[in-house]
Amino acid sequence: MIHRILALALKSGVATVRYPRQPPILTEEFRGFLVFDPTKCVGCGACTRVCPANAMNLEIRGNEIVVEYFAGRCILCHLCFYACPFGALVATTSFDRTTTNFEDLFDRVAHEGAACPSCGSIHATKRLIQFVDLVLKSEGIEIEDRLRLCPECRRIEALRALNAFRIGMEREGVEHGVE
Amino acid sequence: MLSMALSRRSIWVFHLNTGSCNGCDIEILDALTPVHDVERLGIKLVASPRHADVALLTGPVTVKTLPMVVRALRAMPRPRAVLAIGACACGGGIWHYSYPHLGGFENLRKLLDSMGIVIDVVGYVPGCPARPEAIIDGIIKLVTRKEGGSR
Ligand code: SF4
Ligand code: SF4
Ligand code: SF4
Repeated sequence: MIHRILALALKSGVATVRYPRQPPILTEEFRGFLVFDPTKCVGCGACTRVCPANAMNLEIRGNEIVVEYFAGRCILCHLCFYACPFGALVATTSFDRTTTNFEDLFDRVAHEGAACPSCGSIHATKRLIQFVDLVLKSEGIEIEDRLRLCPECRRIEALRALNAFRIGMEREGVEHGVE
Repeated sequence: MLSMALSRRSIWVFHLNTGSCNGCDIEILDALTPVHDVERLGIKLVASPRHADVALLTGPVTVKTLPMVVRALRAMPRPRAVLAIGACACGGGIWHYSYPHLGGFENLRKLLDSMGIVIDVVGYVPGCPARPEAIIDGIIKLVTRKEGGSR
C-alpha cells in the first residue's frame, strides 16, 4: 500500500507554491487593488455612485471636499475604474494592501471646495467647476451665472424665473395650455 | 517584546468565523492545503482559542455571533493577536450599510476595549475574498511588526 502511495506521490511531484520565495500564481484577469492618483482626481464623485461597497466616499469637511478610497472595504469589482472619467483610479493585479496599521488602508485627497455665490455653501470642487468651464467654453456655450449656484439655489432661481415668466404671460393675456 | 515572543516559536492559529459568507474561509483553507501549505512556515491550525496565538477573524461580526466571538477572544492567552481577513472584517464590506452586525473588527475592538479585553496586535488583510498569499503576508507582517506600529 505505502509503495503505491509513494509511487503516486513521486509521479505527481510537488504541488506546493513556495510563496513568498516564489512569485504568486496570478492570472492577467485578476482584479487587484486600485491605485488612486490624487493629482488626476477632480472630485466629481462618479466613483462613489457606482461603488457597491461604499469603499469610495466623497465627503464635505468644512471648506474641503474629501475623496477617500478605503481599501479595507473594497471588493475589487473595478466598477470605479470604468466609471472614473479622469483615469484617477488605476486597476492593478496587486493584492498587497496587508498592514498592521488601520490608517494605511485609506487613500485620501482633499479638494478645495467652491462656494455658492448666493448661499455660500460648498457644493462642488473648484477643479470640477474649472473643468466644466473649460468644456463649455470649448463648445462655445455662454456660461450663465445660474450655473455657478449650488443645486438648491439653482432650483429656487429657476422657479423664480419661471414664475416671472408666467406672470408676464398672464399680464399679456395669454392663457397657457387652454384653447 | 511581543513580536519577539511570537517570532521565536511556531504560530498557532484559530479560525474564527463571525458571520462571513465563507469566501474568506475557503481562502484560509486554501492557505492550509498543500498548494500553499503554511505548516512549512510553522503556522498550525488549532481547534481551541486557548491554544492560539493568532485568531484568523473573518466576517463583519454579526449580532448573532457576537457573544461567541467575545468568549473565544477572551479565552485566548496574552499576547493576543487578531488577523482581520477580508473586506467584511476590515471595514464591513458590502454589508457596511445593513443593520445586524458591528461593521468589522475596528468596532468590535472598541467594544472589547470597553470590556477590558485587550487585543495586543491587529493585522488587516483586505480583499473580497482575501488571497491566500495575502493571508500569509498578513501573518508574516503581524509577527515581524515593529512595536508601536498598530493603532
Ligand atoms: S473596485 Fe469596486 S468596491 Fe472597490 S472601490 Fe472600486 S467600485 Fe468600490
Ligand atoms: S470618479 Fe475619478 S475623478 Fe471623479 S471623484 Fe472618483 S476618482 Fe476622482
Ligand atoms: S470579504 Fe467578501 S469573501 Fe470575505 S467574507 Fe466578506 S463577503 Fe465573503
